[in-house]
Amino acid sequence: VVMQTIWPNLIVQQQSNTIAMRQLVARSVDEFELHWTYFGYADDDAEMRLRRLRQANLMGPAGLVSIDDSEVMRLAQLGARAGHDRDAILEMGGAGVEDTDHIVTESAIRAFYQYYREVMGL
Amino acid sequence: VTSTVGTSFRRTSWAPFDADEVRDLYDDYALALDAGDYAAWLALFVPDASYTVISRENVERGLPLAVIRCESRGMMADRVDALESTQFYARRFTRHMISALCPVAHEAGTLETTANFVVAETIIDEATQLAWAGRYADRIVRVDDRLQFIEKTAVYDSAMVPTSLIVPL
Repeated sequence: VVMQTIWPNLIVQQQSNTIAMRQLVARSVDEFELHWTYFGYADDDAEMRLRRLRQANLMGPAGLVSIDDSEVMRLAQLGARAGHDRDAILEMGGAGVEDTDHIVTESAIRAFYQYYREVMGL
Repeated sequence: VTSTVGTSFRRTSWAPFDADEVRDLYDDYALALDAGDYAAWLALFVPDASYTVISRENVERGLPLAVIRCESRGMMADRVDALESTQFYARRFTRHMISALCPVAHEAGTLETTANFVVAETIIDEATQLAWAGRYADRIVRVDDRLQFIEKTAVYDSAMVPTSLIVPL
């Protein structure tokens, strides 16, 4: 699997022989759409095209390996907005945006929004 | 599929198939999925059946990409295995409502049918939502003394899927 995130809302991915882009489209403060665009190459032969279509079973809203991610993030979002009159903060790994040599941290999420707020003038 | 998904409407005779028996097949389909009885669901398909779930947008544009593409009952069984043993998702209940069942063609001993579907999904602790609406374009065959699907395509109308498609359409 190869995943390349391009700030702020594009993910370019390769999973086996499927190649695709995911685009996050914000709709409101608590809603977004995820647009999946799969593609191949113009000179793919029929066999490769079929292989890409078959392996597309792995990804997308019914994907064998992507359902878990979507569901976990949906539940995390529900948890984050559980208190209607409070703000939720993501404090795993501290409250800063420093680099770490492990991934047991939400530093990347905090850093994303820190820069996002800066660029958006929020 | 393209010809049966849009606004076109055609009807042929049921014979030699029996309308009530075909209706029973669809009812069993809904009952099996909504009961979470995936073994019973699989048993409604012949071994070399195809099962596809695809957006109306892709069908209309002639694009082959499907969110579920099973080219055999074995591939369907793999999906069931994932649903039952590996995938994580919030507990939910579905109700498949299937109506406007129509025979559209006979070919080589098989019956082509179309039908409307609406699937209501209730995720635990949440309100029921009308998650999917669309149309089936199917092919049915008689094997021994019962009917089974040899081809089933669920074309859902909205390009948007509410987060995940867990229970098959």
